[in-house]
Amino acid sequence: MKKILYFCLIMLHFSIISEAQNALKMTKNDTIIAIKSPILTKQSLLFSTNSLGGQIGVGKLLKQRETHRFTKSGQERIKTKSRALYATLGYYYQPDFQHNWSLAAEYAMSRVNRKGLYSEFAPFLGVSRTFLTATSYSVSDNGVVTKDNLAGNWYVTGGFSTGLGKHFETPKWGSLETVSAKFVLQTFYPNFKFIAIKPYFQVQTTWELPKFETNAQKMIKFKS
Amino acid sequence: MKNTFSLIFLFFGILTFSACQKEKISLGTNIQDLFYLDNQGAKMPILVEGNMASGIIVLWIHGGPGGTAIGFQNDADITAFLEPKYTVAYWDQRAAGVSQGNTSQLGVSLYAEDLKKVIILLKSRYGADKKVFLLSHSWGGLIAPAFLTEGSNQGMVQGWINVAGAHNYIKNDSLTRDYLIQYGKEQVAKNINIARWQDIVDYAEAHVPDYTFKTSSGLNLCASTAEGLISDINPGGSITDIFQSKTAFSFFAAASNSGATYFSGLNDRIMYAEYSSKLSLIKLPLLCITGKYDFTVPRGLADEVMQKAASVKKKLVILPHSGHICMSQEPTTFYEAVIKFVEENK
Repeated sequence: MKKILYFCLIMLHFSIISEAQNALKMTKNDTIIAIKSPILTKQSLLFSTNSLGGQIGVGKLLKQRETHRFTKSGQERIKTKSRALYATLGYYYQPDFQHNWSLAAEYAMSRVNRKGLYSEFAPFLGVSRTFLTATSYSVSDNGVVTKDNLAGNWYVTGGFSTGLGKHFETPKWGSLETVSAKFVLQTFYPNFKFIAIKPYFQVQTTWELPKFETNAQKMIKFKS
Repeated sequence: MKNTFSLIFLFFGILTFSACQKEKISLGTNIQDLFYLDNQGAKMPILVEGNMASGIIVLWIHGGPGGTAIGFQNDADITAFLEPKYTVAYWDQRAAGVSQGNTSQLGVSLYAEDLKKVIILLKSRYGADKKVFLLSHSWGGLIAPAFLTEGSNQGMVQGWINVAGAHNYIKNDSLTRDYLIQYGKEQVAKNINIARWQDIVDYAEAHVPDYTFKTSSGLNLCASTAEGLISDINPGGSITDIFQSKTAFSFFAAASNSGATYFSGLNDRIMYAEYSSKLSLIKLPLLCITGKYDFTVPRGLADEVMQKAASVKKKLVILPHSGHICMSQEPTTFYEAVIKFVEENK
């Protein structure tokens, strides 16, 4: 178990892109400013044909790029790309199969266009613990049957989610920032030395908590 | 916002509460219990359905390796024919169906150990007086003799129903090849599906069994293709059955486990598995059922079991309109034979 936790911490470390290391391409006309960003939270409903669950998460905006484009008529159009890092706690229940809890780090790459269309791609990595939904027994070599408590398995879990939704402008305290529908492909390792897959859907809401602010980097780009 | 968080915590609280495992042991005439056997890293589900008041448990040992009893064998036919009379225990083997966990290297002896523990567990839950019949299909027909020929294990069960059992993989491949060539040539001579039968014959002639999974799976594929060309085989037993909604079944879990079995190297190791030399140790009542057109596990294997097993009570049933999935292709005849066998030996 310790090994899995160390592995996750190391992977989490690599998933945090240094703010000095700008993955969003920059030119000499761009402006970079330091901004205070509110803490982000998310709540999701998870579902598939045979499972139901939820997810909560708390995150930090790492960087944002705002592209201002001016049309020939002089109209300004703004497109925003963001990178945020979330810690999420997820749960789903699949009847007659398992309860599944997972704790993961999620690197959310999102963009918002001028009409408020929100799209997101978010890989994640973490740990998962399953609990069987029915009684589990062990039988010793001399035939003694004992009931197991909290039977289940630990897994390294990873995968991605992707989806579309609506972004709401200028969120205030506690206000809703986005609503989106997403497809999630979650994998678990080791499942009999192989990978188990679990696809499901997610209805996600993200919120801002401006009372708690963190530092982030914002790049403003002007295009004619 | 506060309300939102309260609702979320309430939601998770309810879910956590519901996570408690509930033990359910039923003894009625129409029961449905699900529980798990945890052995050497694998949590294997056992779904028990039917008439426990009968005192008889038919334990299904599914095919594969990497198949599923819960998702495939638990169909409308068995529910209609067998479950009203007896209890059927659908056991998903390790790295198969909806089993969960991790495991050391897969091997036939490990599956046989699992089977022994499943029987001990069934008798522990439902009573030592319950009579267990093994019903093995295909690859299950390798696990069953591995279990039955070990120590005093035969004393734990009342009888063995061996359906298209593959107790000797290399012999199986040889018989498949011979049957494909012989039957294929007959079809070509009769001008039936000439091109496709000729392809099968050509392939079989060019591939002599050599203890490799590659050759074995190639012949196996030809066997499935051959069955698809025979109009005398009743419909039923399609692989698409696993897409039907079944109790305690998850398609993605089963697919993941099939992958786990496939990449485990088990298929290569079992090429050397054979129980022909140990069949003489089998003394318990025996019923062999096979399909006339089973190219996957041809009749020759059932003939060998019948010939070598030392059982006093033994019977061979050939289903005339069946291939490899004979329990679905001729369910009435199949389950009548099973019920007759159980009644005579309970």
